[in-house]
Amino acid sequence: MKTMIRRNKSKEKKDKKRIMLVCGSGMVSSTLVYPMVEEILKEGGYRFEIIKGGFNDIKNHASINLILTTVSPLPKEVVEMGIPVVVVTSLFRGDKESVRENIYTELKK
Amino acid sequence: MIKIKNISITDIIEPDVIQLNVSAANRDEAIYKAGYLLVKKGIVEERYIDAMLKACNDLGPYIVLVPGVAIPHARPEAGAKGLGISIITLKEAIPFGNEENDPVHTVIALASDDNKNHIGLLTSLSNFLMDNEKVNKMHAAKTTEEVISLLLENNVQKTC
Repeated sequence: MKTMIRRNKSKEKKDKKRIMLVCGSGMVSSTLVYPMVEEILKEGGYRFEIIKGGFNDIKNHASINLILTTVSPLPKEVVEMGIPVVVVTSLFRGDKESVRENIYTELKK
Repeated sequence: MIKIKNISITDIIEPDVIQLNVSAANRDEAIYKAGYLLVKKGIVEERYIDAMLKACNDLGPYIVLVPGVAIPHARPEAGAKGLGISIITLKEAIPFGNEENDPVHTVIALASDDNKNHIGLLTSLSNFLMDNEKVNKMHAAKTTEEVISLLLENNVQKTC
């Protein structure tokens, strides 16, 4: 079992992912989901860095691999950046499975 | 690691920031009434309420984080003078425009005068929000003491 896991650890998991966790103010809902998002990324075996902020902060950070957000739909100017987005709001309802699935799918691309 | 003041819900929750069975005709009025409790308490300036309303209008009703509960807030620079929380439960639940989590029966307004010291508060609030049963009990609460004890029950201190 262990060797299988190791063999599956492809390049995509070795590169450090820069994840931007955003909500409206960069304060409340992103802080609330932070531990849950962190757990999902750890379970996936990813190397990652989570940058927390509001929408206006996204443009201040280079090479973001994935945006995680509690706000849906996202403001147009954020969508236009072309960075993959996963909405994580359903974590509050305990729906970890689908969020996990979406995050892993985007990170594999 | 950045050192944060880990203020938890136990430090700031008081009966005068809680109002039960409040009448509100719509979303804006509900947010206003929750925000006004913070104004009266001296935690925010009145313009903070406008900023909360604007955030909700601009970004959509994402502040309804779990079924029935909205958490309006704004940035520290929008007029927050301290760290605080206020809670109103609504006489009649109101749609906020969030398909998944409407209608809203409880509004919890938050304010923080900086970007860091609200984290302990949110940790305890998170423990509460994720517990559906407690959320429903809050909605049904008849006294402010009941509300406070529901919030405190969940308050297991965690180190961030």
